[in-house]
Amino acid sequence: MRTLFRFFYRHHMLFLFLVLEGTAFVMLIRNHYIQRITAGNFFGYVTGIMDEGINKWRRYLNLIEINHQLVKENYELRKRLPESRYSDDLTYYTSYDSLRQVWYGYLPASVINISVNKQYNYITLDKGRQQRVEIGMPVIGSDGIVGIVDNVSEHFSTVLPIINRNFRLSVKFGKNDFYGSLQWNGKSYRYAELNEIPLHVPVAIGDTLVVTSYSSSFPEGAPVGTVSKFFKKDGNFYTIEVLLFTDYRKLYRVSLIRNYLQSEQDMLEQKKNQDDQ
Amino acid sequence: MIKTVIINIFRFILLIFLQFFLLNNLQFSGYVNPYLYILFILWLPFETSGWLLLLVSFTLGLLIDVSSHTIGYHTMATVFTGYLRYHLLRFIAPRDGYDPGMSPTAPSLGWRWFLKYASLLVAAHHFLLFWLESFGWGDFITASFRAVASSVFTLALIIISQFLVAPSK
Repeated sequence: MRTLFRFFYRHHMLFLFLVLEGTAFVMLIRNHYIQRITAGNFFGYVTGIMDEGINKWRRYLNLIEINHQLVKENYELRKRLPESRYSDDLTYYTSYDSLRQVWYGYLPASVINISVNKQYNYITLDKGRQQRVEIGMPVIGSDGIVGIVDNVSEHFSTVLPIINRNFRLSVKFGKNDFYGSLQWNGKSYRYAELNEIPLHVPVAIGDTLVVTSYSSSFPEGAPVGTVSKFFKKDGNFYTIEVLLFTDYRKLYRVSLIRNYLQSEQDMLEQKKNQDDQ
Repeated sequence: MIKTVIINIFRFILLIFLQFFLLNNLQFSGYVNPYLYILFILWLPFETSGWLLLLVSFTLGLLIDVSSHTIGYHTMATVFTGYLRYHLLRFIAPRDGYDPGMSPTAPSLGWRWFLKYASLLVAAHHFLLFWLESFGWGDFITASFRAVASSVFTLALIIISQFLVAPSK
């Protein structure tokens, strides 16, 4: 017994090292898989408060850039007003508008913390459960899509952006509806990678990519990016480098999208599943 | 003794704040992320006992993890660095041990000693961190490149810190 104690005492550094390193490793692995559901709530609260502090001076430093973004967004929205449409289009447009149900709602939010240089980047927004933000809600910026909400606290929410290696999204070509899976290769925050596009699809540099309606609650056709480079990779598929419309380093104002018909769609699909069984 | 503890607590808080409010927001290239907070482990007095060194490293890593939206990466890297420091200091100790008044800084032990000591620990920390970050994905080369670039930058900051705040004893 005494020799055992002496053994432990002699090597206490090694044992303590292994225990601590093991603890950290378990945290890392758990976190990797369960996507911070348990730890996220507490840590999300702490980082939310700290992020708010940073945001106070970040807001001043970026004022010029933000103004540009807002002006651009205003123009973009003004273009969509019925008044800015050609007149024979107007009748069609308004008569339908008054009858059609609202499908998507937009909630503006500010980015209060963002990282672009990690492998698992995150964005923190200043809207949370109080504004009925939910996990899985898509986020869109003035240029294109930004990411998907993956954690919500009372006043804040974190967003999994395209530039996080856990991010997957089904996107298609704007011109011909061929679709593939978009993910990030961890290299540059401006580019993402599109795989599984077969060789017979006509691809050209500059082609626009948009969101498909299958995989997520994004409104179909939300802009993602343009093809900047493409090459054949082992076999029958192209690997395509996509220049993202959203520049994460300049991101400040974004919108959270609420799909008002989501529950109806879910219910229908659930019922279908039950019928099949 | 008390004074040393207070100085170290102050340094601990200062480095975490510096990391969170300044360095984590430096995003001038995707390849360079300086992690200056590791200076805290480098700078602990020689008399720090092994178990305390490991526990403090663990706490430091955990706090950095919390503040940068990761869990476990920084903690694993700092605990490893702490363990490495413990053995490194014994390995390169002078024959009659370290003098009581000495601290592991450049003014105290000379630049040649300090640079060897600091670069080894910084490189170990950064390589482990970046490799862990690219874990399960396999872009080993890019991760290594990021580790080298960031190590150089961190080391530069550490050298500056030695001019600014290290007491010339």
